[in-house]
Amino acid sequence: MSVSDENLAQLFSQARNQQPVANLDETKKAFITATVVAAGGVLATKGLLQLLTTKKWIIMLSTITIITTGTLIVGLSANPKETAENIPSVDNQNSIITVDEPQESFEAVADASSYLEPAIPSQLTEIDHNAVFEPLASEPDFLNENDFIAAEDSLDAEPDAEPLSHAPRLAESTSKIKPYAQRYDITENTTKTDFEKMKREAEKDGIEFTYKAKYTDDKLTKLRLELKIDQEEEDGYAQHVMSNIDIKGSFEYTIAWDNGANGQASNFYCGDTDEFNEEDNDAQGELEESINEFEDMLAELQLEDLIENFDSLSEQMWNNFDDIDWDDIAAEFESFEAEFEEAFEEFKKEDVQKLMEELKESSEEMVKTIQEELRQMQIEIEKEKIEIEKQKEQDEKDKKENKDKENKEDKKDDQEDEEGTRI
Amino acid sequence: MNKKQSEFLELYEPIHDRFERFCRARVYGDMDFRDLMNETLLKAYQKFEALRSKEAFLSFLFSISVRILANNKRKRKEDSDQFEKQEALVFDLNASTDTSTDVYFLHQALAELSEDQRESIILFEITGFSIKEIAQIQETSESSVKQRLRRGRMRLKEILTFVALPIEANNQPKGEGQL
Repeated sequence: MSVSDENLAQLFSQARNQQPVANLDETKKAFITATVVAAGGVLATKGLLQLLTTKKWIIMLSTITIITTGTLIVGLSANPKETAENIPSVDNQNSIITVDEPQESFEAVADASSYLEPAIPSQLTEIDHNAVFEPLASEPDFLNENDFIAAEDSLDAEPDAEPLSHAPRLAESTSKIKPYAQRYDITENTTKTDFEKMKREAEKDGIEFTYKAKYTDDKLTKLRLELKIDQEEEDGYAQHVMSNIDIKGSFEYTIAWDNGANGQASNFYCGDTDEFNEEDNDAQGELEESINEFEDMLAELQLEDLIENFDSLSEQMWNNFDDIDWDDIAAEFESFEAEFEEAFEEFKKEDVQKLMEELKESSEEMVKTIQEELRQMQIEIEKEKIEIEKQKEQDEKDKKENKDKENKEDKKDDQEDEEGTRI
Repeated sequence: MNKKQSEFLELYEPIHDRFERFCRARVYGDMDFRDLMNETLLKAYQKFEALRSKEAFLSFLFSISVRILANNKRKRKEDSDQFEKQEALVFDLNASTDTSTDVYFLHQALAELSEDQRESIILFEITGFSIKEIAQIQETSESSVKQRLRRGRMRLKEILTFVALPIEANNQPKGEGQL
């Protein structure tokens, strides 16, 4: 049973007029509840978003703070000036300080006595600070208390710690073996003219030499020395020595320096004269020992026997040279040459003839085959020509026949027309 | 209840029946029509400021409803569909009147149409919108709406032919027996 349009319209009408299942009050309540919940939900979402935004800011700010703090800490720790401020001031100023200045302008105050003790006579280690820093008439500017400079490595040096690697220590320096460019021994009798001479020579060799000497009864009682080579070494350090000595009793002190290839001072050494002499003596002793060892080695080599063997070998060689029969060698060479020529001729005669014969045979065969092929080609071409001529003749015949037929038909038509007109 | 809510409900009250019928017919077998009603009303309330004239409230409401259904169609899950279908079936079978039974079969038949056809027929036949209004709500041309209505009616006839026997039986007076 099919459903008609009327039935369908009736069904729609019923649906249109049907009472609603969900009444208005119920819908209103649900709507109001939903709006309240939605408002809370929206607020919650916004609050959450705000929290997230705040959290993002907190994370960003904390990250930036951490990075900045870290950078500051690293930067401060890398700056030696900040560290140097915490170093206590010099206790032992009466010392020779060998300083290697880094490339960066770096100043530090430290107790450098630990690695300088070997260079100072024991009787000079007692310090009279008051006497040293008495205001003198010709007090140079460099003699300020804060001018004492030590290398970075010596900042934390213990009294028994290893000395600076760059310090030219007398006790370990092997460069004392070679002679110094200049060497001066300073005693209590050294005069100002001597110091002036030293200064001139030092400055000539590129050393900044500054001194201050105090005399009592023409005897040297206080000495301040500062030697500095401005030229930086390969590792970026420069040598700088300051000594502040209070002299009591006998005193022997030596300063010396080596010159480089350019004639300028490359290294200088300061210290007790005895130690310089000891070093030189040790070096001389070592040199003598090595010479003795070399002589012993030469003796062990037994050179005389070797020379004798060499002479005998040379004699044998000359004797053998004289024994050689040059005529025989020439005859053998001639015989070899003759054999070679004979072999070459034989090769010419036999092999070349064979090759020529083979070539002739092969060429004759080739010519024969080519000639045969050409003949066959000519025959085929002639046959084709004949066929073409035959076809032409036939075509001409056909044309003639057609023409004759047409003429005959025309004639017949004309005759019929004439007969028709007559009738 | 605030002013906005009262104003909104004031506009909604006269169209409640039409809207309820539309929702009930539209989501038959898919979901609870009350959910659609509530969701639509909530969305309409949130966008109430965007409503230009009060006369357009009805089409405004139905447009929102149609968009919600389109969005739900993408998110819908098969398991929940089956559950809602069973729930709707149980609910309508409990309606004992003949009219309710006829409308039940009509809704069942409508549920077998395509989304666009079903929507067009409900809006035109049950809710009473004009073809022009339906075209605006569905965001399509009037000719398309006409095509949907024509094809939808034809399909409905085919579907209802198979369920005509129970319809006829229900319409016949008691005691005549069933075919």
